[in-house]
Amino acid sequence: MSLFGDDQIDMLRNLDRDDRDFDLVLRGSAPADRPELDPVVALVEDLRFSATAAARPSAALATLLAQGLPPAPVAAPVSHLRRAAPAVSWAAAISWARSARRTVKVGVIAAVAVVSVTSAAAAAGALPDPIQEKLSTAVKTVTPWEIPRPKGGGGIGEIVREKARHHGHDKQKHIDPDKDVDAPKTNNGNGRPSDPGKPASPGKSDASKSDAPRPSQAANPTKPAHPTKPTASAATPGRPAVPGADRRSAAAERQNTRDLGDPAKITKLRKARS
Amino acid sequence: MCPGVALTAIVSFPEVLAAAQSGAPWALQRLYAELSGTVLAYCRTRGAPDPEDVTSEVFLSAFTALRDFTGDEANFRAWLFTIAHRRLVDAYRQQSRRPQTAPYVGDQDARTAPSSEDEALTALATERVRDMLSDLPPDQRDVLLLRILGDLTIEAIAETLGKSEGAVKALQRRALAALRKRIEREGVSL
Repeated sequence: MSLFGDDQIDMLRNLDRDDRDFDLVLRGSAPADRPELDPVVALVEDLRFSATAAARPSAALATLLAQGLPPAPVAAPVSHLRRAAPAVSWAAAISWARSARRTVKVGVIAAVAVVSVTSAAAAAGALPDPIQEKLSTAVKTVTPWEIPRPKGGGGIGEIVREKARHHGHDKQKHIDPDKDVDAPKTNNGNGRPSDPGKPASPGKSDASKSDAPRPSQAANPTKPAHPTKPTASAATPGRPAVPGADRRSAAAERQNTRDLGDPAKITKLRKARS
Repeated sequence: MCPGVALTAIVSFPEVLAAAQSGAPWALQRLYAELSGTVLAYCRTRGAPDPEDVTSEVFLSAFTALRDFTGDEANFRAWLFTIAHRRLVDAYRQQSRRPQTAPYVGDQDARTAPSSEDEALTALATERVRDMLSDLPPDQRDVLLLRILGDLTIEAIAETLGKSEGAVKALQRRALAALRKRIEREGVSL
């Protein structure tokens, strides 16, 4: 049984026949049983005949026909490079963008950390005085908050200076005369350190008067002019140079005297050294 | 007789194509001499404003891209007529955008003196051929011209026009029926 009716089958047959007939017409011959197609065959032949005359070329085309095609460009590798170059530059651009993004991230994190630490230190008043002063002024100007201003002796700088001062006194307290003998560069030749630290009240020490005319010190131009030094009481060993002077210096002097034994030995040693 | 037969009369088409692709002028001239007539007839019958100018543009485009072409003679014909079809479409678009006006010249009046197209058609066939083809719908006329002048297969025409093979076959049948009816109605004896 056919899917198509008789009319449809006839139509399909006619279509196939038309296709076959048209192929014959294109080949220049009409089917024998269809003489009505002869004029169509003649039309096709005329149309083909009209296409036998060559067209007149334009000036550009005439030049091309006369000279031929230009030599093939040897730039095939160049075109390959041109294609490859953007890929490289794209990769470089992407890599650069990633590294730039990473750099920006690191920079932002570092900046936030610095600002946080500085803010905390400023809030605690632990910054150096000039910085604390400027930061306090700036914060007070820009924001409603207030950061403590440096108070004269407050701040890390002052604390460090104070510690250094005490440390100097402690060093002075633990002077070892034996070390002084072994290390003459650190003293001025009379058993005293070259930098004795803070002088006591000037003009109150008799020992300073006795030290001034000493030829050994006068001959030493590098000797610091600290005539009232409490440690200068070595001129009168065994006793503090000034009864009301620094107790620490007196105690150190006594200790030195005890270590050396006889004060006469000390005097002799100092003379020999000078 | 198929117009493409002469293309391989003395030298085979692959040899001509290889020489043309290497830039040999004689091969280019050979291709142009063999195929420019059919392209010109196609452009003229399709109603191009300046058929010879369009034909020259078609061959310039084809020769410029000739080194990239691969295929046999049938493929070359299909490729060439595809270029021609697209050129005609572009020409129609440009013409519709810019309506051309020309001053009247009595010697060039088609009613008083035969134009070059009329001369060509009169010399080669009859003006009725062109009239009959011009009465067909554009898609039927395209199929018919590509089949007759370009000697393209159904597949090649389908690819050129962007239609299915079944649609091309249907257009071909309708064009054949329309021509036959018109001939019968007018009693044209060709």
